[in-house]
Amino acid sequence: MSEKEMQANCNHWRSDRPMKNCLKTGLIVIGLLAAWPSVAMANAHPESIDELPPGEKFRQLSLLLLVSGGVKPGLLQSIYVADTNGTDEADLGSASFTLQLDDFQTPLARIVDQESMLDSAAQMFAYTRDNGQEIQLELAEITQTNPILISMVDVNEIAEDAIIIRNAIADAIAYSQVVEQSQGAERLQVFRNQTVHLRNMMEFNIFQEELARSTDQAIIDLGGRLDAYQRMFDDEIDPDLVRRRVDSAKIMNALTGTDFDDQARMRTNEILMMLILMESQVH
Amino acid sequence: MDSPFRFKPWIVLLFATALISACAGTARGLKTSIYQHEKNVAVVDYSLSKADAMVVIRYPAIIHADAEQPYFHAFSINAIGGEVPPANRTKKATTRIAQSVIAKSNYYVMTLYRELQKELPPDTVLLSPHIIMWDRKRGIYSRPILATEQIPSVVTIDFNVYSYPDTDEMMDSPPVTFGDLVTPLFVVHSNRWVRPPTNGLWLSSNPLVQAAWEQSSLQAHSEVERKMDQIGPSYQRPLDFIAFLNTRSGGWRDLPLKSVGGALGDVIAVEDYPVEKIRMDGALLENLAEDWTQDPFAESFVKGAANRVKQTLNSVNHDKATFFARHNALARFDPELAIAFLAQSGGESVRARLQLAEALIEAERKFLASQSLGLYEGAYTGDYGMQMRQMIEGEYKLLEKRRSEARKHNVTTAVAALALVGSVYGATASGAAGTALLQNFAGIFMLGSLWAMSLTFKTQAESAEMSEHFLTLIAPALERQIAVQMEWLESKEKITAIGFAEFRNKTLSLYQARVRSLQADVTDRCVFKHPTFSEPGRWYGSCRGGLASERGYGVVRDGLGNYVEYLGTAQDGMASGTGGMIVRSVNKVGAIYYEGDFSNGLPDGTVKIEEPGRKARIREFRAGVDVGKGNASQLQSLAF
Repeated sequence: MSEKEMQANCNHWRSDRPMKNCLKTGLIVIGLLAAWPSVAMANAHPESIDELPPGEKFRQLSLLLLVSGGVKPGLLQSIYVADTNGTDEADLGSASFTLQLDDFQTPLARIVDQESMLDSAAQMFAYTRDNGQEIQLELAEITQTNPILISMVDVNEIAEDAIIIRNAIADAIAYSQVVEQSQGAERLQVFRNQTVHLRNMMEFNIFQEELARSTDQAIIDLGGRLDAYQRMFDDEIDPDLVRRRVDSAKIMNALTGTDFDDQARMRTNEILMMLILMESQVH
Repeated sequence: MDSPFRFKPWIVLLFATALISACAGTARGLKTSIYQHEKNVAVVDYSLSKADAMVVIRYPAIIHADAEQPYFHAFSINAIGGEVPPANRTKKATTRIAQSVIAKSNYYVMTLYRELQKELPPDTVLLSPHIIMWDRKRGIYSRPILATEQIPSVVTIDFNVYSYPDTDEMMDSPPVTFGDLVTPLFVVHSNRWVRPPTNGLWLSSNPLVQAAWEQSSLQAHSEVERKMDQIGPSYQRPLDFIAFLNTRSGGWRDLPLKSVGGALGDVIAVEDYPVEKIRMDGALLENLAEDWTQDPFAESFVKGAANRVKQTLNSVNHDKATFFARHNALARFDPELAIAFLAQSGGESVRARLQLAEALIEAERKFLASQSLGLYEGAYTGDYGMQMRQMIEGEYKLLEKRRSEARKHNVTTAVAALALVGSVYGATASGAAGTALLQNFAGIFMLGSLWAMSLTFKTQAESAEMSEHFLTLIAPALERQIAVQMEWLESKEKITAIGFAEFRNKTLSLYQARVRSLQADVTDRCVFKHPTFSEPGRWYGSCRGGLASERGYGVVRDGLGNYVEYLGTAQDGMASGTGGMIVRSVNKVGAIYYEGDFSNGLPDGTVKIEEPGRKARIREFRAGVDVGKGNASQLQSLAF
């Protein structure tokens, strides 16, 4: 798959999460973008986000940062120019809004027009631009006061949501007049590239976690084997017994190289390991 | 039942007593190593890559049965510190000393490992134990037991201890490792690109300089050949000590050498470390078996040597040092990415894939670091280490007794140490270990026998009475322990190899499932040229019209063995822009390195030049001709 093919398509994900999660997040995005202007207008108090539980608040603020991350002033300006709502660009960031999770759970039927989506995106970008530092401080505070809760937050899940939203915004821009403006296409490509970078970082995190698990397990497994092997030599034993134990260990290692499924292999290893450990006891 | 061991303690005792009686004197050694005054520094690592190790320590760990006799023979004919008469080369004592070099290297190397591991970031110091092998074509050689050397490393250290093979020679100060005396040999080397004029060789014990130089040259040449022809595996460098034993020096070439701490500080040359017989602090050896919190070898040698290694680490660009090793590591499982890496292609797709690949190498490093720790625990904190410390303590007390006797009788004969060592090793040959056991476990038993003998002497020295049954009772048990320890090391190789292969398969599957396509327009089938070579070379990187273009790596050679390597930007098939170039001529020792501006394949502009035996300098070039001093502020350095 080429980088350019990276669009708002769940099939492009290399995540282990089930497809239903992807669809769910898709609905969230559509809901978020669709609801954004009305929510923003209807809830003129950004403080309303304070009413959310800390975990959800953390998630939504993080999402806001990731969605708006790396947006250059030029792109915001382009969206503003294309925006038909007539809001002053300078006023976008001051528009109050709130993020209600319920608002995100909007059915597909609420698909909105591109202009509304762009309008929402412009507000999000501008708000983050103007309040980025406060958002980060808020996140730090939540982390400090709720360390256990935040330690359980799945950052990759937030990143996945952010990627979908960013791709939806990018697609909206692509179908708008923004791309026809001077440098509009280049700015859009930069935005898309940043999304790809975010995706790659997320995938790397997942890869690294899995790799670390495999590495730690391999170290433990090997240490166990070597310990068991060495234990065989700790006792006063006759050479034939040593030979049998060596053969057992060799068989054990040979079996691990065959094509048993993981479960069966684990069971077999356990049995053989127990056998070796039993034989290694001082008589 | 008659024990085969019953009468032998008497033989041992008589033999040893005769030798000890015949010799008296004092065993001398340096109180401190030449490196002991090296300044301690904290290592700062600015490298971008997290995959690389800082230090790999290689040492002789075990010997294959087929290699024993060739090794003993090579050991006796390539003595350091003298020439062993032919008649003495086949003596049992000589073979025991040859074995002791391996046995004791297994122990003393752990002090170096511990000291460096303590100071450097976690999992960045790796051990690479070698097995000594033999075949008709290559003679004796060594190969690593673990996959450690596949991990990119900033520096590699070869380490072993040494004892002179001939126990009959009346020499003033033969190199020996016995009791409180230790003679370390070591070599420090890196990838050729770190120090092109010496092919990456930093430092070598004096007797090994020639072998180390040849190995570094061979390694560099082999890598160039591989890059040129794209065939064959990477050259596996044997331990330089084993290479030294395998090839009797054919006469010294005019190598660029400089003394340790000498006036030639910045000159690009190999640091010539003299043979040092170091005498460790006796106070720390008195009760070594019980109290080893303060390691006597660390105090007298290793701390200084480790400081020297850390200074080297600080003086090196780590990314440069591991660049080609990382390329080789990547090529093993992702050849496409390896080319893009060599070409230093930009783009998110390359960056992201490289990040995954480096994480894979980092995981392997972590896995192998845990194996190194296992080796350390087995050979230093485990039974083996305990027995070695008992043996060293026993040897020390025996030596002290001899020294005391010599002083008492005002005897000045300076053969005590060697004679004593000889008596111990010689006695061992006819002593504790039975023939059958020796055949079964080859050289492994020597260590146990030696220890048993040292304990025997200690008993005798302290009580003036030796139990006839002592060896009969103790030696077989001790030897079995030593034997299983060494056999464990052999088995560790097999189990670890299987474990590592499984691990690698698993992580590779994970990697292949995660990687995305590369958006890099690079190839390894493009032409690279140099004005002085008629034949075209090979270019790894961007290609335009079949010729090298933009960033990449090029190599070209002729039939005589001269070659040019280049890393940097190119145009129309030739070096052009900023880059680094290694020029090797068969008629000259080492290589010349140019870094800076190039045009039409030649240095052109401000260029840094490094030559063997000279300081690095900035010069101004016009079409390959040096036209005068260059301005350092205008130098365009090669980025790795």
